[in-house]
Amino acid sequence: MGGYFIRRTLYAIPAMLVISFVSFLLIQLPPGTFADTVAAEMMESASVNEDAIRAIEERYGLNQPLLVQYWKWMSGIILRGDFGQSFIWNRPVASLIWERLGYTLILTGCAFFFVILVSVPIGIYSAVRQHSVGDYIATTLGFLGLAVPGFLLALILMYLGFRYFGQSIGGFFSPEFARAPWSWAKFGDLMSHVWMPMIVVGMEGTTSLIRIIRANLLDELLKPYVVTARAKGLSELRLLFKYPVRLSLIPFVATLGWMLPMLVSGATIVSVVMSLPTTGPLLLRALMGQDMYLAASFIMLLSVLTVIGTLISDVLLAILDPRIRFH
Amino acid sequence: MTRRKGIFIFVPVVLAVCSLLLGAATTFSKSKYSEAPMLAKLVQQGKLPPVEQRLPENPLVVTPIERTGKYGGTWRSGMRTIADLGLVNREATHHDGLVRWKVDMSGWKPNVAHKIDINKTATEYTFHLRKGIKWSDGMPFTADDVMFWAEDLVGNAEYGQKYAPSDRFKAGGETFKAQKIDDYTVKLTFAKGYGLFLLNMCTGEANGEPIRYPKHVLKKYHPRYNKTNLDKLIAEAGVGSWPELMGIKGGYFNSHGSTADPRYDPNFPVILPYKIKIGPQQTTTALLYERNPYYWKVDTEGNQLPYIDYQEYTLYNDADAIALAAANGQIDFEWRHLFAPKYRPLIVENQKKGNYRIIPTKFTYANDVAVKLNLNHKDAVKREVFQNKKFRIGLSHAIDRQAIINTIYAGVGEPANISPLPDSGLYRESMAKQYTEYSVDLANKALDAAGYSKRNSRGIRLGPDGKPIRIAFEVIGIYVDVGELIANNWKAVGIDVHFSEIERSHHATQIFANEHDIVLWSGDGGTRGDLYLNPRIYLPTSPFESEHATRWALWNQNPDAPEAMEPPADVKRQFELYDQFKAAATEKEQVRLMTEILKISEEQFHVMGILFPPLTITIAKHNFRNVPKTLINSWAYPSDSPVGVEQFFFD
Amino acid sequence: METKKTGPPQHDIPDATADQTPRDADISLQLASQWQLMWWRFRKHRLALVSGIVVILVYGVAAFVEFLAPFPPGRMISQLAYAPPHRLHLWEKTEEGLKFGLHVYGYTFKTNVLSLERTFSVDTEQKIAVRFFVKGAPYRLWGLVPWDRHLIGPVDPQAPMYLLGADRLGRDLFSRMIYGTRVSMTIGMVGVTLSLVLGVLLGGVSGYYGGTVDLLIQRVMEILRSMPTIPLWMGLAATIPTYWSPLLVYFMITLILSVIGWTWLAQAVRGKFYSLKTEDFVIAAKLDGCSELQVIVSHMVPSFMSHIIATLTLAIPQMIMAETALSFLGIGLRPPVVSWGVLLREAQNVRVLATSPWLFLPGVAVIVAVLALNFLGDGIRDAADPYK
Repeated sequence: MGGYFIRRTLYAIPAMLVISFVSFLLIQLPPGTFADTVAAEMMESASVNEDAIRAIEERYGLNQPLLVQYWKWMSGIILRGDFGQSFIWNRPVASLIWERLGYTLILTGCAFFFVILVSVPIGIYSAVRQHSVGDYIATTLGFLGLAVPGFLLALILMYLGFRYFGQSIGGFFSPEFARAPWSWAKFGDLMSHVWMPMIVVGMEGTTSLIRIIRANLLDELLKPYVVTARAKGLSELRLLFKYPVRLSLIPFVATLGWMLPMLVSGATIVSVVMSLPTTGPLLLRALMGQDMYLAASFIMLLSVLTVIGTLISDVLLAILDPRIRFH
Repeated sequence: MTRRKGIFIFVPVVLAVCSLLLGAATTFSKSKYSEAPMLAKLVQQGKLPPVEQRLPENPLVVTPIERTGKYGGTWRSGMRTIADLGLVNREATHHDGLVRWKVDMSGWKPNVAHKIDINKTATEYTFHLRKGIKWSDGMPFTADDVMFWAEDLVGNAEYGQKYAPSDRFKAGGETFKAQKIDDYTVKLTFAKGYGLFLLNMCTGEANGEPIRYPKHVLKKYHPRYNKTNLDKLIAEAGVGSWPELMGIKGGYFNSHGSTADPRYDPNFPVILPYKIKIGPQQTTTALLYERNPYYWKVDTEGNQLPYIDYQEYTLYNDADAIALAAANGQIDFEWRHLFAPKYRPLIVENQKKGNYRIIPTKFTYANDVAVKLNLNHKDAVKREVFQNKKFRIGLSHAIDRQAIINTIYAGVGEPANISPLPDSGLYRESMAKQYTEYSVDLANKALDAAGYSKRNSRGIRLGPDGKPIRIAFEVIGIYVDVGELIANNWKAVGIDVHFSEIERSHHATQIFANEHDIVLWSGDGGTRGDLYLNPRIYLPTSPFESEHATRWALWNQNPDAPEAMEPPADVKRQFELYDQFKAAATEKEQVRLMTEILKISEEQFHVMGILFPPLTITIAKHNFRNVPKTLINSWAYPSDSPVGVEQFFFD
Repeated sequence: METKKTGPPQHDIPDATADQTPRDADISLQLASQWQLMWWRFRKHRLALVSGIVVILVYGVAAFVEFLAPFPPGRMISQLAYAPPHRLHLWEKTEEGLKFGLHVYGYTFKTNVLSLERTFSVDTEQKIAVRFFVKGAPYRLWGLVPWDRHLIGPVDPQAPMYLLGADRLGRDLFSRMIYGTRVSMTIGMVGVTLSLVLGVLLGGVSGYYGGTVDLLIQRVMEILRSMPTIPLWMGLAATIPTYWSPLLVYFMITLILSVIGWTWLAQAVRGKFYSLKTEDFVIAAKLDGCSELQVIVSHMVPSFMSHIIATLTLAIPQMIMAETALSFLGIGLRPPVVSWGVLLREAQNVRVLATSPWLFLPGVAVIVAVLALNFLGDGIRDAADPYK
């Protein structure tokens, strides 16, 4: 068991290194550099200063070869924990990430719990009352979650929130609480703003999860041991939860791995539409503005998070299902 | 006996009168100026000197537009991502200068300088600064600070190599010579007459420059004052030369667009009404500006300005969110992002819900969409085709301007080509209306006459090299609708148009490289003020903003530049006339010369237009007061600073 | 993406043979080919059946776009920007009573100068006759066959007929949605084909050979899957030069989409190969003297072909959603290309939400197509699963 864990962790390390390189490469792929972004902004305010643009290029070493820049960046991270400087914000990337990561985790975490809270009961109910009206409704709703594009839903919800609830636009807090210190009231305000993006982000995940739980539970319920237990007189409810549900949750754990990147991605688009202070909008801005270090660091961190998530789910799975260890 | 009694009466009376007078004197001297409660608190705590000591000897007295205001409140605005620092600049950083626009943009008025002497030939400008203005850190603001800018930066050759001074500071190609007359008087002398100098000094670009470089902070980065450890400082900053160091520590001309500008650092002193408290370094969600306790203006009752305590700029991701926020009443006073026709119904309908009113606002542009083909294109064939006037005439007739107005502007607008506005005093109807008639017939005739009547099998006209005439029609996001309609119009007359949307930074790169075929942008120079200062579509004055002829503009700046292209005689004549214009000392001269330039421009027809700028709107919450009944919108203004941001208040 | 269902085999004998004598039924069951068995089982799953029909219809629309759309996608009447949908009237009152005559009524409008809003009112004076198989704007079907008949349209080709309303430039949403069908549905197929090739190839190699090859490919797949898709797409999409023709951009987008897509298929294929490697029939084939290639192609692949089809069918809607998302972000397809994603991007603003919500109908098209494909894929997979 320990061996499996060690092996998996060791495999993850080169993966993360490759991810860091790919992240960096991605930023460099589009033509131009941050200097061009500055130039564009100057043009828009009708006050172009070519010397300033060149100064920026020199200062940030934007014209050096790719590998040199990558090496400077990587060595900064490993040796000093320095993720580089953001050109757009003019401060260390690390401070920006810190600021935003918290809210991203809150949103993704809430979405995660939303997914579980919704899909498990519905999945179980669907399986137990198969082909009932409730089953069909649940399945269709679940599928809708899969089919409706997230950004569309986000915009619609935001507009409805504005139109009928007078909810403040943008950010996680109402203006009164934005700068106030933490309190239960502030927490409540946060929750009242989180529910909308949480639902939108979690929609896609609930579908798949409902279907998986439903399918696996259906399989389990037809197994001989269940028939036996029923014959022996066990109540339905106890019967349900003693083994089948727990067994069908095993593949659910396996799905945690791929759900994480999906949630993070989904959160990106939704946050952009709703102007939330998470990593999504910052990353988008960084990508479009060629803010090299910020974008690369974000991509790398998000990918690493999901690699870790996959690792955890693999390990959990191995603990739960011995067959996998000996694959 | 009476005398003794008299003393008993006389002395107390004298004492009483004296104490009355003394009391009155102290009361009056105490109540000469008042300050905001939040500052009064700091004075009580001993953290701030009393208001009399903070204000200059003769503070500028501002007459409020409606009435005397109340202290307090936070003015909220919406920014579209951190790249939108232009918004902040208009309201906070480009606010003051030596001089300032009059509210109706008809001329200049004194500001930091309370008096300006100009000699008859407009070559010498003497600025008399107000005595006793202080920086936001309490240090005095004197002629030294202005001289630091004028002599040690603009006038320094080494600095000028890194950060070329603006053309607005030059006459006859040379910058001024600065001279300190006394602690509060600076004289700038030009080699040639420069009648337009003060108006130029009102523009958003230039007005902040003379007053933003605190010598007491920055002198240690200048070799003239730091003879000891300048090299160490340069090395510490990781740069190669002192101008670069100075650029980082003090900013440079037009550095306001970057978050690296020191004015976004809460510790950097300014003499503006607001200084930054929470900047891009401390937040990613909203910028906060706080009142400057040393601001040097008062209202007519002696209240130190500004009235409003804070300015808050919330960062949104896109304009949709800002529009919704405004409709929801989350924005107190803003034009930017809300004026687009597509948000108009939302903004107008939610006035009651959001508790705001709409203020009609007038653009100073000449045309809402200027269509600039690249007459200086890198590719010789395209250059020849675009420079062919009949070709442009044909394209102009091919555009269905009314259809564009119907779809994008909901039918509200008047078709027009490029010309100063009807109420500018320089309007030329022939110029505005030439070639605006929509006629595919006329278009085809003109294109045929241009020499491109032969077409290939797909119906595309062939150019002078026998190949199909192709235009890569690339526009940035806000012009996608208009661009698509124009592109379709041109396809219908046999031009091979490839229409696509392009990213802003990519667009800029292309323009710098002179590889663009066409640029769509708003056309400057509608009102007189705007025209005098930004005639860049009437003649190519700017190598970056005259996108229709960047290389001719370059030639004008430096004929020997490797990329420069020699312009034809009529353009050269325009350059000559404009130089004379800039030097002109009387208004009559200015009008005469500008009219000459416009005549040539009308004949040239280099740039096309679509419609006169429509009326636009600014929103203001009902309790946001001291705003005029109508507003002007212009970058040269820049809106809304000259209105008097410092006298806005919350009722 | 679905985990493999575990469990003992279940017996689910299709009753397609219900109307035969017991003995004949038995024989036909045993003689039925694998595909026939699948089909019988598939037919039982009613939802999947209906979905299959829907999918065929949608692809049918995609095929005959030029004929089905009343107008070319760029055709606009500038005055009628944001016009609400026309109601199609079937019966008209004449002196002889009611007669069957398709028509719509034109609009008059008032513009509010301050709010720049147009209010449209139905004008019964303007009767616009509508007909089936009407002569309209000429076109070339599939770019080859010249024709000018449209399924439905106004008798006067210059007259307006907005069955689903007009967009911000006065273009017919109904026509544009139809044109968008072709792009949106085929972008999925091209990308999926690429994913298929990559997935089967790499997954097969990984599963069959195992060892270090397997390990390497596994890691690559893991890396690709752990990267958040949006930035990956953005980065790749941003490299497409803007001066490329829309067709080329379209092709590049599908390429980019399949970069992620292939990992799911590869994973499934790998798993299958791994387990099948030790199956009796494979060993038998090897003993029989078949070469490696023959074993793979003639024996292993067919055994899970159905599973591949199911996964493919499920991958297409993902591609559609991805294209929609990319176009929304502005980095996918752009005007003048018409796809559902592009249409949604044009609708993506508060003004449309507040005053012209019909412009969100392409979203409904996306939902319907995605749902149908999902149910179909589910049905195929259920039918094909040999363990059920």
